Amino acid sequence: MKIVDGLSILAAQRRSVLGLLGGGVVAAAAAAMPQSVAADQVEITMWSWVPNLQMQIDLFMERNPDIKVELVNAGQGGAQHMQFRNALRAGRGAPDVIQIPLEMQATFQLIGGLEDIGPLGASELQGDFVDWVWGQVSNEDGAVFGIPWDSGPMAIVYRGDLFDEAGITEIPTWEDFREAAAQFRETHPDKYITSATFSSGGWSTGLFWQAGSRPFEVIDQTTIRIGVNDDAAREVAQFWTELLEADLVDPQPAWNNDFYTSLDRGLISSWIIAGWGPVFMEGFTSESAGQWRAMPMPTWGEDNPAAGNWGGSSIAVVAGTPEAEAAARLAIFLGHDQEAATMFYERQFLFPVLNSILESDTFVNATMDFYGGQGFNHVFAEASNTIDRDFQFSPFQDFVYETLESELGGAAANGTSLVDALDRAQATLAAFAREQGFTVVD
Amino acid sequence: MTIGMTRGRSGHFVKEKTIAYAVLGLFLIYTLLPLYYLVISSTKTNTQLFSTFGLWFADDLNLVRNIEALFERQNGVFGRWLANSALYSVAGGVGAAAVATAAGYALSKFNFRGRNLTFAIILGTVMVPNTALVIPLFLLFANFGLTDTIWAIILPSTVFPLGVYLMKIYIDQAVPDELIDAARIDGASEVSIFFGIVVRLAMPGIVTVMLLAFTSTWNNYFLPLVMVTDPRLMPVTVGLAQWNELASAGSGGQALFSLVITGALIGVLPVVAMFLLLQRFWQGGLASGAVK
Repeated sequence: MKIVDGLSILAAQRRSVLGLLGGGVVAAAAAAMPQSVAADQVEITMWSWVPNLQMQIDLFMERNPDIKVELVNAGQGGAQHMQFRNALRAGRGAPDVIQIPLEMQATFQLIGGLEDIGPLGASELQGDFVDWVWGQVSNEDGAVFGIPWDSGPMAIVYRGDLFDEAGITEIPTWEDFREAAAQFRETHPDKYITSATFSSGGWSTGLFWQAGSRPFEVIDQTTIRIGVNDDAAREVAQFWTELLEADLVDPQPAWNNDFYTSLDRGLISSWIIAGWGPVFMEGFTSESAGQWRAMPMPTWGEDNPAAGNWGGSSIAVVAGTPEAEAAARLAIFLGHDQEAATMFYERQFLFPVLNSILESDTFVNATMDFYGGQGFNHVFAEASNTIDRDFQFSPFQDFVYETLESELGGAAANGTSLVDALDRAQATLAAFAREQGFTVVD
Repeated sequence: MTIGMTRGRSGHFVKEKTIAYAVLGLFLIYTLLPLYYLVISSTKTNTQLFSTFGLWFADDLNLVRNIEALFERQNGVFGRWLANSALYSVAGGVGAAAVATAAGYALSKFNFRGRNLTFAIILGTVMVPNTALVIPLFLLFANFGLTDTIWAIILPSTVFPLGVYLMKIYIDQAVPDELIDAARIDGASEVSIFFGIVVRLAMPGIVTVMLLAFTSTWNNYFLPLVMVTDPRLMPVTVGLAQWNELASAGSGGQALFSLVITGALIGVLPVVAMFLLLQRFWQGGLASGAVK
């Protein structure tokens, strides 16, 4: 099976501007007409930023004629979190169902924004999902605060041609990575094996996660242990500081014009990125299209074969919704229904978290033009099985990412120690947590 | 000695002029370069944005393709955003001008208890950044059930203290007291004095305030970002930022840079058009306001 690329979907949907305007008028007229609504039909609203989600929503409404779903794209990232917080604070305007990033799960749980849907049918689904992802949406008391939707197991997406020329075929451990980086610089003096993108909080967290760091532990509602500079994180920080000092990796920040251009031209020859990355990269690579390959992340020793995670999201039911039952049905359908979940990875490229899909031949063997017609889903699928279940995010994760991004991103760009930057981040976060009324323990 | 002095002066003058031109030239480059980049970039596809030189065209022009894709994305929501921006800005501009003219006239021509204090307070609010008021406004509007409606953007946009200040100054100067007194003696009502004399004489000032309020509403980002969640109510600024952020969404992330850039180009055109069309009033208004 071949995964359709995002732009060709756009092209397939492309109609003339005129036709579209006409269509809009018809749609508006249809919407204005009084509809004969069944007396017992309930209406719920869902916020999600996933493109073309209406396909699956229509499928849901077809199968559940008693529920009408209004889909709203309220943005993603900081904008969406702020909207949701404001709506909760104002007591109105919040949706019934909401897509939230995995890293924000704890934050929204803490402010009482999410409903426990365990009793509404979610509890019995536990075994069907990847274990560690389930751990992120549930707690040890059996409460379930969302249905896992997608995840971001990390691997190295690299330029096959450039790695071949440098004679790099596999990189089992991070020590091997150091050698590979040096070897790569020797063969390609104008290029770097990869970039130290500490300017992304999600990326650096993925690396710390892989090394077994446990930056946060919520002990109870008001007590939290913070250790963003624990031994595992320090080891990662020290390692990358050395790579940067030896000029073995590129120091420039990610997510900007230069970075994308460098990736496309091979000046940065790989990106340690999550399962959703290849499709994203396909959107801006042209020169290098077809040359990309994927290999597992190096590990911290053979006894610790874990991978990191970056991103992912869940579908949660908003606390206090009068239609919790209908909302839970929608969340469970989107996350758990085979047909819907298959569409998500084939059409919207969300990295699956349902075991049945991760193990299916169609998923494992899917190929992409980006990879020159080869398939590398198995690399990410294997990574997905090794991710540390006990990693916890903080209940103020947006602030944590901001802090990590400014401290670590700054240190990487200025060539100063990432370990010191971690210590500064630790101090900032502990002070912030106290300001928020937490008791901080070590 | 006299000759020497003249020489010295003219030399000095030339030097000043050169510096002035250099500074203006730098400012011009500073202003136009981003626009130039925007025009060039809007002709490129997503991949060309990263594979070609940023300040010159790629081999083929894709402006039309970009515009088509822009208006088709998410069921053509961009057209809706443009219409929303226009509605908010026109309503905000006209509303702000109306409130400012009436208030400025009252402050300028009527003697009432507390006039100076009122004026001082209005002047003081000019110093309060609008963004600082957004969250309190949000909670206030939420209580009235007005969040996620067009009023949540239009009503705050009509409150424009700087406009009140400008209109007071302008009416002080442009509308002579004698004219109003004469009209009163002739038996004109207060309403007809306001609409028949004050509004007409103050027109350049009114247009200036309207333009200022129009652009500030058109460019406003934080207020609509907080007030509306429904994409069908968003203005261009918030909508494009939302698309831009999709690139770093992680899940379901997409690189929509070519659309964001083309959208930004189309988003600045109405403001440029407004300024060119109303330039005459605008300059007159600015100059008159500045004298006093």
